[in-house]
Amino acid sequence: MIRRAFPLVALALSACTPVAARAAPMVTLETSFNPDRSGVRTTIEFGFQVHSTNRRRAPSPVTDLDLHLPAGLGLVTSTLGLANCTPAALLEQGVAGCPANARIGFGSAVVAVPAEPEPVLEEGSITALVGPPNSEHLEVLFYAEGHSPVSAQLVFPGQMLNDNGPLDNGPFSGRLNTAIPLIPTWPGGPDVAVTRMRSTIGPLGLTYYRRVGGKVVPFHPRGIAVPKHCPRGGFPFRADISFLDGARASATSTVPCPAS
Amino acid sequence: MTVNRHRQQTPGQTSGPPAAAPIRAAVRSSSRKLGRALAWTAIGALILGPGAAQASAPRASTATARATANVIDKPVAAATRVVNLQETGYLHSVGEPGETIAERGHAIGTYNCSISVHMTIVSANSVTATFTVKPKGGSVTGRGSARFAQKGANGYFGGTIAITDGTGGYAHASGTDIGISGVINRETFALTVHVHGKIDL
Repeated sequence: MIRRAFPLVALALSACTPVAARAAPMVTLETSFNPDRSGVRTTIEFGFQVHSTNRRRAPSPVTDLDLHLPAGLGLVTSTLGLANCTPAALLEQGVAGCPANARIGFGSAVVAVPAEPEPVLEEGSITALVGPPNSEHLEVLFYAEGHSPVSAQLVFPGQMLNDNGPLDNGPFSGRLNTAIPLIPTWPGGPDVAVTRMRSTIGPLGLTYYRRVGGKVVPFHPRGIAVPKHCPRGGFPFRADISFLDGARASATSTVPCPAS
Repeated sequence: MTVNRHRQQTPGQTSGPPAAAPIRAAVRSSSRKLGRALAWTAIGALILGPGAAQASAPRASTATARATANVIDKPVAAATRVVNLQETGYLHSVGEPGETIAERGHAIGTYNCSISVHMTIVSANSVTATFTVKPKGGSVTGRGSARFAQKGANGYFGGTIAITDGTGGYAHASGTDIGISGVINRETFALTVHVHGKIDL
């Protein structure tokens, strides 16, 4: 979902590489818990980076991200997302159009704008919010905002989906599936490619508000419960990424077990 | 024997049985107790899932082998009674919720009794639960699973529960596919659950 995208890229950037099937780019995934202490509720920090096979070319745009979460980790017992934000309000007014209690994280993203002789990189901010339930699935809206050289406000809709059968004892209990929309540089131009994205999901840096006795009182939302039992080798994460040219790539990351 | 046992288990039932049919009355009152227990169990199972139904399958077979509600009109000692269960439970969190949320409270409806539930978050959209209800004269334990959806400050669930065990006057209680639905407050973990279905006592 694109709020608006302006063709602010200079003509010098217009000689772009054509979209063609290429080898899958290498993808790396980083994950961590903050804080990372046994039995302490936490914030999940995650980020992925796409490494182009050709430094002078922007990688094919990412179209889909599947972030698999360790078993036992979830938002259900946290108080994250006590309110919901509609995509329409987000697109119309930005983050200001949504309740503070709908925010569940924030971060940044870097996109590569196809250009000659090399892609131009642009960094933008990301805010993660809880959207209205889509079917029975929790919807997470990533609101991305960039200004230069391409000015755009985007919403990446994501859904928390089951990773395995309900009673399957697999390493993952759920996955955050996020569709990343194509971001045109200008009408008819090539699409911008997301090359790096980092975000939190958790209470770190967030303030919620509740009404108590007629007064609005700020409070810190309850974080994500980390299973008391740490699996051997740590808490596993995996990212499956799909690209516009049909290529797919995966990356794994593990959060070590906290010192007891 | 069974009739006597039921009578001992059912003292204090609200609706008195007809004086002309003592056996039926005994069965009816015991069924209510069982239904109450099951209801609580169902509440607990609400949160839990499919595994419960499987676990209770053998018990269901046993129940089938026994006489059903039709037997109530016959002077058979081992008669089994089917109770229509309609129960609502109100629970609150006990301890710090983590992967598992422990809840305790009371239920009203077919039976009035205490109930405890351990709900485990299996995935983003599903939960399993074990429950124990303690009507007068015994207890009923079960488990079940439910789908879960989060919307704002509340989480909504719906699924089925099954009875896996019983004690005292409910030692032979059985039931599967008992429907559960409810809502849990994500801030306070206050849980309201509705249970509906049939149980064999």
